[in-house]
Formats: sequence, C-alpha cells, structure tokens
Amino acid sequence: MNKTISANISGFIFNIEENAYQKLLKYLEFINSFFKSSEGGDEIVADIEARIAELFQERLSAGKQLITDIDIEEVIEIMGRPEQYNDSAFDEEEETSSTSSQSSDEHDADADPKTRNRRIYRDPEDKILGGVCAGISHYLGWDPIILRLIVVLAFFFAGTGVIVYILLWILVPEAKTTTEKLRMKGEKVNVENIRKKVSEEMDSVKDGVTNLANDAKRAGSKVSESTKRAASGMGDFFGIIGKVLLKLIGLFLLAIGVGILIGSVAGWVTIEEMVFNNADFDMIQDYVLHDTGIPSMVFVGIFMVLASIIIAFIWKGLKILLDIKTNVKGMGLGLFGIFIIGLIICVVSGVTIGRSYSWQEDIPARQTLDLVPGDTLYVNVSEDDRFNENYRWDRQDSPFALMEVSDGEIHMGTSTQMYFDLIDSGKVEIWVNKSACGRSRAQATTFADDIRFDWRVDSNVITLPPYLSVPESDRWKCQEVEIEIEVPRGVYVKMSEHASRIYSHHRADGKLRYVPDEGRLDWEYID
Amino acid sequence: MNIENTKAQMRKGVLEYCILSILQNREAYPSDIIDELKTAKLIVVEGTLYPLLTRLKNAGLLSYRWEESTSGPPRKYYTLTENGKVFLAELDKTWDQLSTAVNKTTSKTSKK
Repeated sequence: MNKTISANISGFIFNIEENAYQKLLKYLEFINSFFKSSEGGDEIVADIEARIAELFQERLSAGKQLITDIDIEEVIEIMGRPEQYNDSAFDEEEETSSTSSQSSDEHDADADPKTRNRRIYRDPEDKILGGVCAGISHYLGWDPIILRLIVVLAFFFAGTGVIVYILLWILVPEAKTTTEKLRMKGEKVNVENIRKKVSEEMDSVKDGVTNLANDAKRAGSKVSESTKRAASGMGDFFGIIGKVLLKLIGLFLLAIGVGILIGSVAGWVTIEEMVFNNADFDMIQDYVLHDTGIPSMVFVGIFMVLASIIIAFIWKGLKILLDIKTNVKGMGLGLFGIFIIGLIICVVSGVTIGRSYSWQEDIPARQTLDLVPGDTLYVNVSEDDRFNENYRWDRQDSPFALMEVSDGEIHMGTSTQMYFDLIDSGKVEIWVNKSACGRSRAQATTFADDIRFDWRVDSNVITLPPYLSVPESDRWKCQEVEIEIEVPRGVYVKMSEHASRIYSHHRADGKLRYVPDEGRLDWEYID
Repeated sequence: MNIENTKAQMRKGVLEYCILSILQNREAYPSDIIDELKTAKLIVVEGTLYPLLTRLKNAGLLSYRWEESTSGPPRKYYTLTENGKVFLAELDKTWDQLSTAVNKTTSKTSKK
C-alpha cells in the first residue's frame, strides 16, 4: 500500500502516488529553472503545466483515479525529457549549449574546491539528519563522514556539537533547486550541468523506488531511505529533533539506573563497614532485628524498592537507546507493584524496628571511696582475654565492633565508657550507669537491669570489667555502661596499662596526662 | 558533427513557419498544433512547442483567447494576427525559393 498525495497543476486537482509526485516535482523544477531566464518564461512554464494537466485528464477515468509513476514517465516522454531540451528548437539556449559542450569536462568540480565559486547549502540528497555535514563537506571538499565523526565526538564533550549543529540546520538553507545543488558542489550552472543533474536525479528516484519496495523492516536506529525520501520540510525536522531528544532521555534514564545501582552497592558496603564494622551479618539480623518479629524483612523491602527502580530505569534507558521493540508483558505494572510493596514493607518494618528502641532508661549506681589528697587511687581492669588484647579500644567504634556471643550471653566490648572528673574537694566517687532501650519504659528498665557489669571497690582500688554482658535473649537494645569517677585535687590516679588501653582517657574537664612509664594519670592543674 | 543535431537544426528552421501555416485558416489549441506536427514528424517532444508559441505571440504574430473547458482548466485558443498573416505570406515565398534551391542543389549532386 502506498501513500497518495492530492496535488494540483494549472488549477487541475488530481491524486498522485507519492513516488510519482516526487518525480513530477523534479521535472517541474527542471522546467522552471530551464525557462527562468527566457523571455516570457513564466508563460511558457504555465503552458507546459496546462498541457500536463490535460494529459493527466486524458489518463484518468472512473476506473483509474490515480496518477501513477508510469503516467509521469509517459508524460515526461511526451513533453520532452530534460536532455532533449538541450538539442531542440531553443534559440536562446543555442549559444550556451555550444559553450556548455566545451565545459562538460569541467564538471568534476568537487575535486578542486579552491578555484570554484561555491556556496554552502544543506544537501538534501545525502543527509542523515539535516544534511548539514554533507553540505559543508561539499564546500570543503571533504568526505562527509569526517564532519559527522567530529559532530559525534563533540556531542560527547558536553554536547557542544548539538547546539552548533542545530544552529547550522536552521541557518543554512537547503539546496532545493537544481541550480542551488550545482552551486553547492561548485559545478558550473549551465544547461549542460542542469540536464546532467536532472537525469542523475531521475535515475536515483528510480532506484529509490526500488529500494522502498525492499525496505521492509527498519533495523536499529538508522534513519532509513524511506524516511529520508518520504518526509520533507519542517515535519521531518521536528521528527528528527524529537528522535535525538528521545535518545538523550534514554541515555539519561540508563545513567540514573546504573547510578542508583552503584550507589546502592557502595552504600551497602559503607554501611557494612562503618556501622557494623564488617560484623557477621547474621549476628546483626539475629540481635537487632529478630526481636521485632519481622526478621530481615526490612532488607527485603529495601531490596525490592531499589531493585524495581534500578531495573525500571536501566530497562527503559536501554530500550530507547537500542530501539528494542520487544515489550515484556506486564513489566511496567509488575515493577511498580514490587516498588510499592517494597516501600510498604520498608516503612512498616522500619517503624517497628524503631519502636523497639524508642524508650531509654538508666539504672545508676554509685559508691564513695574514702580517700584524701595525697592518697593514690588505683583503677584496674579485671583480666579477661575474651577480646583481642591488641585491638584498639575506641569508643568511636560501633557497638557491633566487639561483640561476641557465648554461654547464652552477648558480650559487648565497645559499649562501655569511662570519664574522670576533677573536682576541687570532696571524696572520690564512682558512678556507674547502666542504660538500655526498649519498646516501653518498663521493658527498657528490664533490659538495663539485665546488664551484667561486675565492678567492685576495695578500699582504694576500683576494678572494672573490660566489657558488659547481657542475656542473649535480650538481644541488642543499645545497652551501655557509663562510668564516671570523681577525683578531688591532690589525689593521684594510677591506671594499669591494660586499663588505660581499654578505657581511653575521656574526661569531663581538667587536663589529664598519662604517664606511661609510671603507669599513672597526671592532672595538669589549671590555675 | 552529430547527425541528430543537424536534423534538429533543419527541423527547427521550419518549425515556426509550420506553426504559422497550421493556423493559417483556423484557430487551434496547442494540443491540436502538436498533433499535426507530430503526424508530420516535425516535433518529437511537446515541450519544444510552448517556448515557440510564446515567442511568436510576443512578437505579435499570434494571439490567443481563453476558452473554458468542461473538463479541466481553461485552454488557450491560438489565431494568427494580421501581422502573422503577412509574415506567413513572406515565409511562403521564402520556402518556395528555398526548397527549389535545395532540391536543385541536392539532385544535381546526387546525379553526379
């Protein structure tokens, strides 16, 4: 099935096949330019067109309502093929035709761009998008592929090529008439060349018609012959612009999808490293999430949300870029469904998890020591090689950094902290605070109470355990132990090296200096 | 030299004379003129006719009027003007002289 164009010539309306229309158009262009300079040229052209209309009329009937390619061929034969116009009864052209036969050897103008007087047009016959590259290449005498490559490269450098190309597309005129096409290539504009050009174009139209028949499927994103020849003018321009924009959008979507994917992976790795300190994932699962009754659901939810977004973006992007036509049934709906469900799961489980940590309760305990200025306070840590001695005990680490489960208890090495507090006068006081979180106040209190931190005081020796322990069934409820020791001035504090390593020297105020060889802390009195 | 070119030149020389001759006693559409010329094998393509007609009209030898047609656009109906008639008479004489001269020359040559 072919497209039909409704046209009129000399006031006579007729229907004509698309290919035939193009042929007729070219022929009329030739006639026009041929008689342009003749005296009464307009009238001659009008007469010819009127005659053509008559010929069309003769050929149309009730049974045949369409002017076809064959009709145009016949009409052109009748009216005279362009080459015949050269050697027939045309007085004015006689002089030029004799000179044009001499200059026929010079028509190979593309080879010598410098001596020709040529102008820049857009080439409608050799265009991929708008014929900008082809047209300018004629002017420069290059192969159009060079300019095209440059444009593509420029596109990758912040898309500068696109703006320039579009500007040129708008500003540079298209070589429509035969004269313009000859000027574009720098060939001499005379009858001989016009004739040659027109007959070339007639041949290529013939070829194009054959190609159209063969052009069954459109593969990939290449603008096919049929699109090139069939569309024309502004409609084509916007169509191509739309295509380019679409491709850009496709690329953008793909980039977003890949970006989210990379971001998620990177984010997970970071979280794993910073928050969990590469701790066993199962441990986290068991001791953080299990109590909430929705084991690891939150991870499933996050995964669903991210996966659906990533897949959607990457798939859409690839589809546009590579012109993939196949549509996976229900993909859009399915992905959206997964996204929504994943989102719901995330929200619900997130809220649930959060609730189990919404309350925090403290259980303090204190004890006073009977020391006076001049006495020495010893702070020791009970021997326990559970956690590696060489590990740098740093409060900044997450609670999961030193976490071990054994004998039905969870032992947490980084959930304890000790402060020294310098006071002017008074007694030495040790203040140990156990805190935990829970779903409710009561639960938080219970969890805090469950913390086992066996410390003791013997006259002037404070002995602290290196870590706290909670029943395994309690799971991680941000259990913490905070120790504060008030020391009046004048009292010396001596910490074993073991102790000072386990409990780093954070203090509330005053200046504290650890004296390594003597194994003691020294106050720097600020007066 | 191209034989086709020479033939065309010969035909071209007499074409105007023939057109004027056709219109000697009647009015005619361009298509009528074309048909006659084609029958006489004087023109091959119709396109050559229109510039000639226009030139003859501009020279004042022909004139036309528009005639409405029931099927299609209006058509030109050509006639000889007074000038054209005079011109044609001159050409008649010229042709007589010319054809006699040519016949004489060619027959003489072939006889030898």
